Amino acid sequence: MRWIRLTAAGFLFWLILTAGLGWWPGLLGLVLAGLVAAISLHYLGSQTRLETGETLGLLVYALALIPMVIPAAWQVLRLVLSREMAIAPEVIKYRTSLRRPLARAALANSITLTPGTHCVDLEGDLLTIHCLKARFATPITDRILERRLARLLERTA
Amino acid sequence: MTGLALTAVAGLLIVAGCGFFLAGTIGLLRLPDFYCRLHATTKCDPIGAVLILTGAALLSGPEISTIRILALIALIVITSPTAGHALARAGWHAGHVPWTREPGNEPE
Repeated sequence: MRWIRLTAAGFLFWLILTAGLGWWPGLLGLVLAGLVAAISLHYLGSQTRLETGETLGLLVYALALIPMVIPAAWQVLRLVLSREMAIAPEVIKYRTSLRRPLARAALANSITLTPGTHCVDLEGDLLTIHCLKARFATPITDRILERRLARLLERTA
Repeated sequence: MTGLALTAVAGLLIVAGCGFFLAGTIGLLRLPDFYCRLHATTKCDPIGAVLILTGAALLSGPEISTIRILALIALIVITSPTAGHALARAGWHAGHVPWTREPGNEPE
């Protein structure tokens, strides 16, 4: 049942991108959507199960991230265009209190999208984060993103 | 006039997007190691693409192609950090040591 729902979602996305191109692209899209759904379910299993409210919540969360992504890109832009490139890269380890794998994955992606930090590894609850400067890790260690994700995805967990 | 303003805003967005792409590319060339370069590509490139696509959506007006563009924006925002994370993780597990600003450490 989940495979059918995932295939339908993937196929709908394919149709949005290729509408009007005829039958063959449609058939190809159906086969590919089915394959992608099967591979995703094989590797992720039930880890990505989302309730309807959570899907909406994640979308709202993704939109709320945009104001963080733009300064992040701007900061990198200023840094790489500066003469001296004042960076002092560090790798920090950070233990998250989030319990669901999906919430942890969302946190890792959020860290990658925020200024000066890039999630390198995620093993259990331990995140390895590469920072261009140590101070860039402050929003992470202050748990701002984590609290938002906990509210969205872990109320019922 | 509205059409002209819309075209101007779309043009600005597209130019800004190109600027971010350019910065990402410069970062790729200037930053000292693999992990630092990922910062440039995972932050500047998606924003560049989103700005250019938003400009294109404004220019195309309320048509089916606008929905396609919005779908592409969603795809880029979701997949870009995931791909960046996959690359960084592969490097980390392959034993690639991050560059640090210490005496004797040469950039790659």
